[in-house]
Amino acid sequence: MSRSLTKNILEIDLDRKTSVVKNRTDLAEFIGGVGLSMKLYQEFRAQKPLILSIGPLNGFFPFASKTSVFFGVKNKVYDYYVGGSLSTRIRFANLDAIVILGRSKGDVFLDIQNSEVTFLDFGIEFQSQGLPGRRSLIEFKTNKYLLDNYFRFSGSEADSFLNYKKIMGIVISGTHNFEVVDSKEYDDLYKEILKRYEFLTVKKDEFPSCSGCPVGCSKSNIGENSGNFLVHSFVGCQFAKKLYSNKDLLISCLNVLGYTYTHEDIEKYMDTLYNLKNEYIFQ
Amino acid sequence: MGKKILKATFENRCNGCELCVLEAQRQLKKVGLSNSPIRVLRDMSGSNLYFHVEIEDHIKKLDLEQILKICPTGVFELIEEQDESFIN
Repeated sequence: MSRSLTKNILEIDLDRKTSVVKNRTDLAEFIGGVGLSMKLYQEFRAQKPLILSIGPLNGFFPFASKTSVFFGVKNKVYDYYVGGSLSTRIRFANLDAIVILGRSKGDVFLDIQNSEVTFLDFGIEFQSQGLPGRRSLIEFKTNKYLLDNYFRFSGSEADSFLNYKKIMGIVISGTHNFEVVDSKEYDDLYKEILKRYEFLTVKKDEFPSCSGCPVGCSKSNIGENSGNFLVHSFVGCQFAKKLYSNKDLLISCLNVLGYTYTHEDIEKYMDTLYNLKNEYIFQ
Repeated sequence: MGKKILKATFENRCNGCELCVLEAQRQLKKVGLSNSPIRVLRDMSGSNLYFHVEIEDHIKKLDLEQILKICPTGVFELIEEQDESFIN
């Protein structure tokens, strides 16, 4: 049984307060993460999109724990990667990317539950929104946005851009459960990756951890920006770069999940990304 | 000897990685957070992030040793289930 390569894209229009999920077969070659974001940015550029995207391994494998955050200001584009629980919630909402378009007239709070979006007026009790144990909460606090009260974006530009859109908070809850083709093979590979601490370039610590990462490192709350396109297409953590830049491992992970991507698909995708990248000035 | 039960005795050690939730779900042959016998709740009151671990009764059907083992911070312990017929 193969898993669909169709990308589920949630488009949210802040001007009209509308939303729609589109199942995009045309985006199959865009495996995920930063590359998918770049393609969507190209499409929606005129509407000043903020794009949150994940890759095919997020939610399924350890250390694939970041979410790509992509946007443009003037003639520059920014690619940030935020940790915490966000990538798993987007996965379990059965989405590959969330594209937030336009600008709200007034302060707004977005309550996303799977494919449904509720536009809430600012002033409600944010922290009671979403589904307990299955949600991520991004909230504007004093002068910055925090994810689950701890994790943050790596640069102030993301804060400024969310603020420009008048988004005061986003809660994302995901309730989908997925099946895998061969649960034994999946479990074995999952645990094999989990054991590979020696490939990480960060030390185990006692801080809050990202979902799917046991390490609890001191840098989990800082986020990342730019870096390795392959790792950020699968939206793995930069500290697990040695794992998620290994194409053989990536293919093993994809195959056990039922994705039919091949080495050649990954190589072609990287070429496409570098061509796309040349269209932009990355900050 | 009675059956073992899983307790989140050292909940204060939880770092929110949710490996226990995902392990329990894998044993149930699914990947996701819904209807899991373990839930990790985030407490965002104040200026910090803390975690509460909720364990449902139907976790008894699972391989509890594996759940205990996968936790990186030692939140859980396995204890003997008390037979209520011996309690006055």
